[in-house]
Amino acid sequence: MNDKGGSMSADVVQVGISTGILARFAELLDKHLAAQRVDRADVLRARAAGRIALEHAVLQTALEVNQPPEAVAATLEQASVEHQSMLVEQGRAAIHRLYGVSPDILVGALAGRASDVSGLVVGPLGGPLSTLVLGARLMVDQLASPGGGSARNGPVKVALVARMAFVHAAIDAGVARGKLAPAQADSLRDSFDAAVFSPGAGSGHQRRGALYSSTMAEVRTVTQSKTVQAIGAQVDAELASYAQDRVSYERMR
Amino acid sequence: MAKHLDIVELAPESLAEVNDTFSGQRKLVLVTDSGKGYVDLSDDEASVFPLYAVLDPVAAGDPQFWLIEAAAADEADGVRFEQLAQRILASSEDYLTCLRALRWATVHRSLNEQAALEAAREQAELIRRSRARMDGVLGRIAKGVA
Repeated sequence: MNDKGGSMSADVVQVGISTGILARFAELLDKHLAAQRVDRADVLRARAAGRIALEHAVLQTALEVNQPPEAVAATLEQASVEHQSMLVEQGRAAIHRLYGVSPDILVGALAGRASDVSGLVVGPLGGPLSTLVLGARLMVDQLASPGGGSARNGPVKVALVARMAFVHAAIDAGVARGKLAPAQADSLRDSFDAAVFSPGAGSGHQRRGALYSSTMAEVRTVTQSKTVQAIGAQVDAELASYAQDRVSYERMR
Repeated sequence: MAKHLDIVELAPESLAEVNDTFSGQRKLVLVTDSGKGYVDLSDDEASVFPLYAVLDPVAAGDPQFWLIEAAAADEADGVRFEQLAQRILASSEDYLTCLRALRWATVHRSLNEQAALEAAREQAELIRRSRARMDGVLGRIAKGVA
C-alpha cells in the first residue's frame, strides 16, 4: 500500500482497497471452511456468497449513481483509464452524498453484514480475525506516526475505516443471527478495537486516541445508518434464500 | 433512503434472458427451483444469482415454443429446425450451450448448426470471462494489490 505520492495514483489505491474488502471476506471464509474440512458444497456456497455480495454492491451502486452496472463493474477493476476515473469520482461523490461515507467503507460494511462471523472468529482474536487485526494495526501505526499527519484523510484512513466497518458489521450480523450473545459481541468488539489501536511502547498515545475517535465515528455513521441496515438485511435475505437454491442437477446434463 | 433492488419471480426451471452484470450483454439462463434465481453455466461450480429487476429478466419460452414459432412461419422450416435441434442435442455440448444454440438459430432463422453452436459457445465464454472478472475482484487483495 502506498499513500505517499509514489508511482501508484490515489485512485488506483482506493479502488484496490474497495475491491479488497470483499476479496478478503471471500478468502477468509474459504480458508476457514477449507481448514474445517467441510465438504466441497460448503466451499462453493461461501464462494457464491462472495459473488452475490459483490454483485449486489455493484448493482446497488449503479442504481444510486444512475450508471450501467458494467460501468460500475469496470471502475471496480481499474481506475487508470481516464474516463473510468471520472466515473469512479462521480460514483464516489454520489455515494458520499447518500451515506456520508466513501464507497469503500460502504462496501466494507455490506460485506461484513453478509459474512458469517463464525468464519472470522477462531478463539479470542485467533484465526482470520488476527490477520485483520494485523493489517489494521499496520495502518494505525502509519497514521499515528509523527509524520503520518498528511495521510490521516487519505486512502490509508479510508482503508482502516472500511476494515473496522467490516468487522463491526460482521459482529453485528452475528448477534442478529443468534450466533453471538450480545455480551460476547461487546467483548469481541472491545478486544478487536484494543488490539488495533493500543499503542506500542511509548508511541503516540494522543494521536492514537484521536485516530480511534475519528475512525469509530465514521464506522458508526455507516453501521448504524438505517439505509445501510436495510441494504444489509436485503443482502442477508438473499444469501439465505439462495444458499439452497439450485437447478436440478439432472437438468444440467 | 436507498433505492431498492427488486427481485422478480419467473416460472421455476424455465428459461429467461437477463443482462450480465459485468459485461452488460444479454444471456440465456436457467431459472432455479425458487423462481427467484438463475444459473448461467453448466459446470459443477456454477453459482445461483438473484433475478434482479434491474437486469431486465424476461421469460424466454422453451425449445418446443421456439420450434412451434418456426413452424408457424413456415411448416417446412418447422421440420428443418426440429432436425437441427436433434443434431445440436446430439453434439457433445452441455445442456445450456445446446439451448443457446437452438435459441440463436431460431431467432436468426438460420439452419447453420456450426454457426449456432459457435454463437452459443461465445455466450458461455463471455459469461466465464465475466465470472473470472468477478472472482478476480474478490481475489485481488489476497495477492496484495491493496
